[in-house]
Amino acid sequence: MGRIYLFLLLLFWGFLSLHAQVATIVPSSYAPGNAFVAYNSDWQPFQNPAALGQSKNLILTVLYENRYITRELGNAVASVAVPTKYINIGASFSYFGYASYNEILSAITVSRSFGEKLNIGVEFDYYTLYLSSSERYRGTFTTQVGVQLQVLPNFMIGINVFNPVFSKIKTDLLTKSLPSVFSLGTNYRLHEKVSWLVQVDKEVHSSVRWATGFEYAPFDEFMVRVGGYGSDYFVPTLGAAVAFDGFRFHLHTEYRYPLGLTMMGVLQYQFK
Amino acid sequence: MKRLGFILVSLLLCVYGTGQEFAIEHVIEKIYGQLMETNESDIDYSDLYDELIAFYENPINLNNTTPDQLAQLRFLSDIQIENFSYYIYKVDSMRTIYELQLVEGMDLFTIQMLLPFVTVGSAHEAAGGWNFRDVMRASRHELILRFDGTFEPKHGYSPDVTPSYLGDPFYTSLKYRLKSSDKLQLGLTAEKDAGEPFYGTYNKGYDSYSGFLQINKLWKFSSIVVGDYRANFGQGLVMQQDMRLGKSSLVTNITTRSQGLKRHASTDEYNFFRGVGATAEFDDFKISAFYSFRQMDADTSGGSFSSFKTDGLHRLPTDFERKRTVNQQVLGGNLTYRHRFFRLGLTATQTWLNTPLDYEPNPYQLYYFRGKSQFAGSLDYLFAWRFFRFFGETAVNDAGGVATLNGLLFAPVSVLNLAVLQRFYSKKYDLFFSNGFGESSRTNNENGVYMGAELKPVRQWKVSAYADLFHASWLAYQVNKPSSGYETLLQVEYMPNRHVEMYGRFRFEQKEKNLKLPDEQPSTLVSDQQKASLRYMIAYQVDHVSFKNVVEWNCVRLGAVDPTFGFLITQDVVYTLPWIDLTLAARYEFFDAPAYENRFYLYERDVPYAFYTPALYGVGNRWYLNVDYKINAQLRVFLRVAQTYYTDNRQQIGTGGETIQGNHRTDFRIHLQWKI
Repeated sequence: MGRIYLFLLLLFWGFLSLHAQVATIVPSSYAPGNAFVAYNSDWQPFQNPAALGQSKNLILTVLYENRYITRELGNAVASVAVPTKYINIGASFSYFGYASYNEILSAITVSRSFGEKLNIGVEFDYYTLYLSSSERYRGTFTTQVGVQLQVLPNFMIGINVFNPVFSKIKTDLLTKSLPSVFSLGTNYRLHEKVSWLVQVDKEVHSSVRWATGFEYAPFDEFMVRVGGYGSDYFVPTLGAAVAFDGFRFHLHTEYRYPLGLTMMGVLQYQFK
Repeated sequence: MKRLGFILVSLLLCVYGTGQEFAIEHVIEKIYGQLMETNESDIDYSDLYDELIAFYENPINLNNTTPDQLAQLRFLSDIQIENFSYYIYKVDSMRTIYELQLVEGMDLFTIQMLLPFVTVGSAHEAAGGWNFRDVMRASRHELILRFDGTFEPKHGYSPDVTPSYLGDPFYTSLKYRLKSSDKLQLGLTAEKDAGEPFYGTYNKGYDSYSGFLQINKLWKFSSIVVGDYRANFGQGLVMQQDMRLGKSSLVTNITTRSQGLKRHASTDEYNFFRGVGATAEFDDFKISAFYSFRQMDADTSGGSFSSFKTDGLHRLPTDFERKRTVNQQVLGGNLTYRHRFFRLGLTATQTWLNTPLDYEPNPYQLYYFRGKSQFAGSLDYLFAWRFFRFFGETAVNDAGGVATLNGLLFAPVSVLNLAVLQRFYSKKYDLFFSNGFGESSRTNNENGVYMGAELKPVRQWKVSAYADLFHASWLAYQVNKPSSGYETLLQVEYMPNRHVEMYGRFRFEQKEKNLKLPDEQPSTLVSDQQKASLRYMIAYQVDHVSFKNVVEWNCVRLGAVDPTFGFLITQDVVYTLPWIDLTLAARYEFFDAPAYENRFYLYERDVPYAFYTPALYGVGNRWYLNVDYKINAQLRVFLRVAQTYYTDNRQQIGTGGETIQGNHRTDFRIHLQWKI
């Protein structure tokens, strides 16, 4: 019975996720208000690939997200970013679900910085869905393209298109379309220590999502993020990050009524 | 001294500001965007493109130009033209293009658009007489070939359909142009639309041919046109075949610009005259006369016809039965007197048909023109005094209808321009070639007042706004009672530097419309339809790459019915490869317009002389890729592929013979341009 409730919850959550323009498998972003597209402080796995273009060092990231304090709705992610002379390369892996229902997303990201103003990134994704013990896994390829551009010294624009090729998984019984999402956002540095992010997303089948948030970094070692996003209703977000030596730890929370709290912790290590 | 100082500073700034500016295509796109984006009707913009490209290739010498010539750059307001003329009168000649910043009312936004089309040359260039040998020596030739098609098969081409289209599914056209400075122009155009037969029982060769010869500045004649041409006089109440400047984000550009006779060079198969016309100048007088004889398409099977067939398509046997069935003759003339401070014009036209026009007995068409003969005459004026420019036209037709349009442009200070326009078109005033300012595409049955204001509070900012109130004293199309409405627009533009520009635009319109019942049953109820739209656009350039984003939201409500919301988001990228003269332009967009009233129009960059602005409604995405490759100095090739992909579970696109089975449509174009 518990599994049935969980499955119903999963379906409902999947529906809400679609409204939030986020693929089930793609973890939330720790950018303030989930406005990730023009967020250029770090590259986050499966978010705007253009942000990888400015990575200067090798970075290892592990991330765990838990939605609504439900063990089965957990998302575990690992990624590595490798800068090279001409392009930066990233590899990411994400696992969501549990034994009888799970989704796996693997990605190779390639990004390059053109001067100091323009970053362009492309991500090649392979999505796998575990259907049942008889059908086992089904998978499909898709892509993600992103651009980040410093239009003015204190104003950045970010663009991201996830799944522009409308990839889907087809079986005899079901057709599961991966969401196709067009995101456009801005990052306005109000002050040396304060950034304001604004974003709109349009998933081709769903209504528009907006997102906005502020990041305040009183010291280099600490920052606070506050914001929210919404489509049919508002979801507030709150987060913080601490940094010491090469380590950085991010904590991100969202509260979605009536389902509850989503929490995410991210640990990064940056090689010097 | 102040001027000299300014010039020196400007030259220094030029040295620092040598970064690439937006390309000519971007400027043209911007001009189109401003002129058309509030205009949802299908207008042929190829003449405007032709003019802009001609000025780009042969820029206007600002030291040796006329207000009439500058007026052809339609983004310049009358006040800006006047201020510029005054500036030249005051300083005798400009020394550098950067002096434009000294002209009152000439803002950064206008200068950015103006720069590709103007230059600063000698103030005393010899005009030169009309010598045939010199003219031919200076002549330039251009040959354009175009080939279009759609990848997905259309229903009308299926042999199982009766009747099916007679021709192949490809559009082809061929254009030849000869141009010799501003003295001589000659052109031939042949065109075949998709579905029209190239050769067969009904047709031998192309479906449509047109041609013109225009000679300018020959003795007393400022222009002589033979073949296909267009005529425009006054404020367009009697004769206006070019596109009119209606309501747009250029809120004070409301006067009609095109004056006189000029060649018809586009592939539009309806809106032109065929015959001969000439304009002669005698001191302060200008006299134009023209005659046209055309065979128009219409269904005359009942001994009369209810409307002209304007699409120019001849794909089915019935189309050929309606081809060239009505003879139309037009005789007209204009006399204009110009003084330094004012202009007065008289226009008269007489049209004869050999078959009577008789509309369907729809109540809203009760006062439309019926019969075989139509006459109209008008008096137009333009009067400039200090900061004011008064303009207008009053016309009457032989049915007793009256139309009058009167306006005032006023610039109390250099940072503020104001415009007011009043019009009254009686319901009996209905002419074939009138195209005056208004809400309706027809210049009749309308009474309204328009007010526009443009404020440039600081150098990088511009605020534009207009409000238009209109009333129809009789029924109109899809409005079963006399109706009223209003429209407002507010636009704020910001250009922080030459590589970045953005604007936010809010538009609201309310007008009355027949209420559709949910079961599509006919209804006699008329209700208010309200449409609000909000747009943000940002364009920016980094080296050889330029980007543009548009985000637009709209909301439509008819009566008490729940409102519907539309959303559009686009990304444009243009990349110019400097080492091989290759330009790639791409757009990717998502649209979500659940109702037809939520549809979006957004200008698309296309091959030259092609203007396809799809009405995006439904849910889906659209992309296009344009390739522009200059093979050598003479030869240029353009390729375009565009696809609309619907995700709203529709099984077919289009209607009738144009129906495509499936949820996507992919079009391609190939355009070759050879210049010698």
